Amino acid sequence: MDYLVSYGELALKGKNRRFFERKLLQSLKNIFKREKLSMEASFLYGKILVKSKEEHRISEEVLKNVFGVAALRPVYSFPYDYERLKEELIPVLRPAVEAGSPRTFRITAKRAFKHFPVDSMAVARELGRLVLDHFPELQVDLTRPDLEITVDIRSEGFFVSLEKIKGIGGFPEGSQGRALLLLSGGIDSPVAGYLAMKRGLTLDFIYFHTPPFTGEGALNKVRSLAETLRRRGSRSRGNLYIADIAGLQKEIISQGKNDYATLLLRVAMLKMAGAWARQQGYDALVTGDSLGQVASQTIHSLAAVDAVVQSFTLRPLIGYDKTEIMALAESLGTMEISNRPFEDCCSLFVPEHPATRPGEAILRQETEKLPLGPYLETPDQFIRAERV
Amino acid sequence: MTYLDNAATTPPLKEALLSLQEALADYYANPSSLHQAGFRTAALREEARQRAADLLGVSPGEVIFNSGATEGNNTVLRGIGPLLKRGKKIALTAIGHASVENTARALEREGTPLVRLPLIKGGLIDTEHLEGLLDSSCALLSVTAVNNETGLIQPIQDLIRQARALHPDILVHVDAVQSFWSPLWQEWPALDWDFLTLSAHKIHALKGTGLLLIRKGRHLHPLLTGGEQEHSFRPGTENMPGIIALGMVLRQLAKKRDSFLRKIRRLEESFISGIDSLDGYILNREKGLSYSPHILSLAHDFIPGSVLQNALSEREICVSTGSACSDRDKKNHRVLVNSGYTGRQALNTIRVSLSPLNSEEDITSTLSALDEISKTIGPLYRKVQ
Repeated sequence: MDYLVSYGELALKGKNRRFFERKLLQSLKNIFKREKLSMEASFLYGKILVKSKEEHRISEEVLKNVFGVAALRPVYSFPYDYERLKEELIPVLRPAVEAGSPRTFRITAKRAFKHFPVDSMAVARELGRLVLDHFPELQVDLTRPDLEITVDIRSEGFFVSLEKIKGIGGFPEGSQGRALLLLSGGIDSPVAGYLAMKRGLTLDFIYFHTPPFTGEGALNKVRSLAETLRRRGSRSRGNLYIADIAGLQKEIISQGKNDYATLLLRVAMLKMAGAWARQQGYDALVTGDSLGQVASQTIHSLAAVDAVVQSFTLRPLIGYDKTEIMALAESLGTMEISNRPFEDCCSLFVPEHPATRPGEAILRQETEKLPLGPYLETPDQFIRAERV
Repeated sequence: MTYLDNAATTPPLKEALLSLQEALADYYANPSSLHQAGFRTAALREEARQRAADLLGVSPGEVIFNSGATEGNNTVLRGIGPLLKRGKKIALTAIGHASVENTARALEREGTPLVRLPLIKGGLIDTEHLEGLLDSSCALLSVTAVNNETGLIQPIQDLIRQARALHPDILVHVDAVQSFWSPLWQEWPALDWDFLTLSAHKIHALKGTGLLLIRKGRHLHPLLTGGEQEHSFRPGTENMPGIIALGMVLRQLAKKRDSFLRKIRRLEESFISGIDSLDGYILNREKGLSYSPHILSLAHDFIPGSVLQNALSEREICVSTGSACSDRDKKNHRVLVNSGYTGRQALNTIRVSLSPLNSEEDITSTLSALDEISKTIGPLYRKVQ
């Protein structure tokens, strides 16, 4: 089966269009190769044509989940020969008409190739008559047909399709830049990562390991999450950076009972991630913050942390409810991994009365007491990279 | 690697299993087959059954091979079905293994009333106060002989005597999985239980094999229906690798149990005296109660068990927390909290469990690791108390 893939909003992007198209084509090719699929993709003006030797079910599942794909149509490809199309169209339609037993239909012709001598209305009328001749039980309904037969007229040939499948949308992976996701092992951060990927970011992952407060089990969980997310995109491997901040964690605790402890840890993590991102050429950080979910995610806490951290941080979940996040996590397959029972470092040493309206000045003061220097100047001595 | 999680599972006994591969290559026939090859395999199965029967003082006809103690416990609790249909109760403690506890809770949802036996601090059944609890409305008394988290030994003899005095026809089920290194092991032949469940991989044989002992004259309804294996009680082609291995291990253990037990007791003693001299740790053992020497439950004053476990694991020392660590919910510390320990103590607990394959060196290195962890991490947790 062949497929015509369309990419919606990215076609609006004027001069950058070729860039986006190339990214999407590359994504498709990478996925076909990685998943060892007998599928090929090539440009067709304004669309991408995919020729697949895989089962329809598999092709559809793969194509509709590629970031940047707005819609796809399974198509019957005919050579550029109008007379031949008229001869061969009916046998192609027959199984679909018999299986679906539609009562009404319409033909929608689109003439992308303007040199084709017959205008699209005329094509629709002519082919419509042909269909009526062969299937006398069908009636024309232009507004709400049971079966819409789309005929795409191009210099490469005619592409006939009976069905449009909605794609995942967004932008092709990598078309918007590279970002570093702070992955905790919880439910939220993987979902945030997915949304960032959907908007065209290539994503790598950073996890803050605090042995022995957190164990190998928590790390394994993060490895699975990173891999699951990476596979949503087109890459064959991604980077998981494991940052050991046990020393910092100990420092924060050894300063005693502190309502700012959680915020300080967040500041330390974001500062370190920001330093690493700058060194490694990432354009942004991504976190799983959702406004108001916990004390450290109140608008005041987020604002104070951001003021102290000074890194560009995306928070795709900011407007999501927990139930929405959980539903997405479920559909991504990350929920089951996140629910495995291991401590993440945030759930240890939680202050009894965490600050919900932290003062930026105090947070800055407290941050200055931390021995952050080596973590920001030479983060590589605390970071170990793994391919996931 | 120092392996001190022998209550979870034990390493297979190498010398016993050396000949296993050969046996499996030769005895591949289905023991139910009516030909020479089948008879030979069946004979090997019966040899293993006889050995288990001899060790436990029962006749071979009272021994059923199954997949392990979870299956055994399910079979007993559910197998008395007709009695439960008549509204009879099941008496049990709140500190049994999950395979007993969760089966009982499922039965409770299906309408079977549960009677919880009173416990004193440490988890010991208060046998003085059973009157009014155990009577003719109870069909089954189910008890874990040696607690898998604390090592506590229940007074089984006394309990059975009291129970029978209150209700002569009560059926008694003993989950004896962790009892091998306790004095109870030698009492099983003499004690008046009706059903006894055991697991092979806790005594150095293989996972996926268990024993269910059913006293002559007692009946259970099987969980599964199928072929006529195990007197039609446990259908399905027998797990011959597991059964042959169990037979081999039991032969070794019969010879070596005394010396092995002496070794475990020495290790236990070293560990206890070591812990006594360390700051910050306390054994979850109560004065006057008896414990199996192979299970040592201990808590740090401040450090959570999960952190102790991680810190030991970093040093290649394997112990368990005995409970899921992420949640501070009491239900994850069911056994310890129901044994009378505080939530804090339960949270901070780890379980060190020994086997005769451990060495004094294992104990020394574990003690010094525990000391180091207490000294480095303890102060941090003390601060946030």
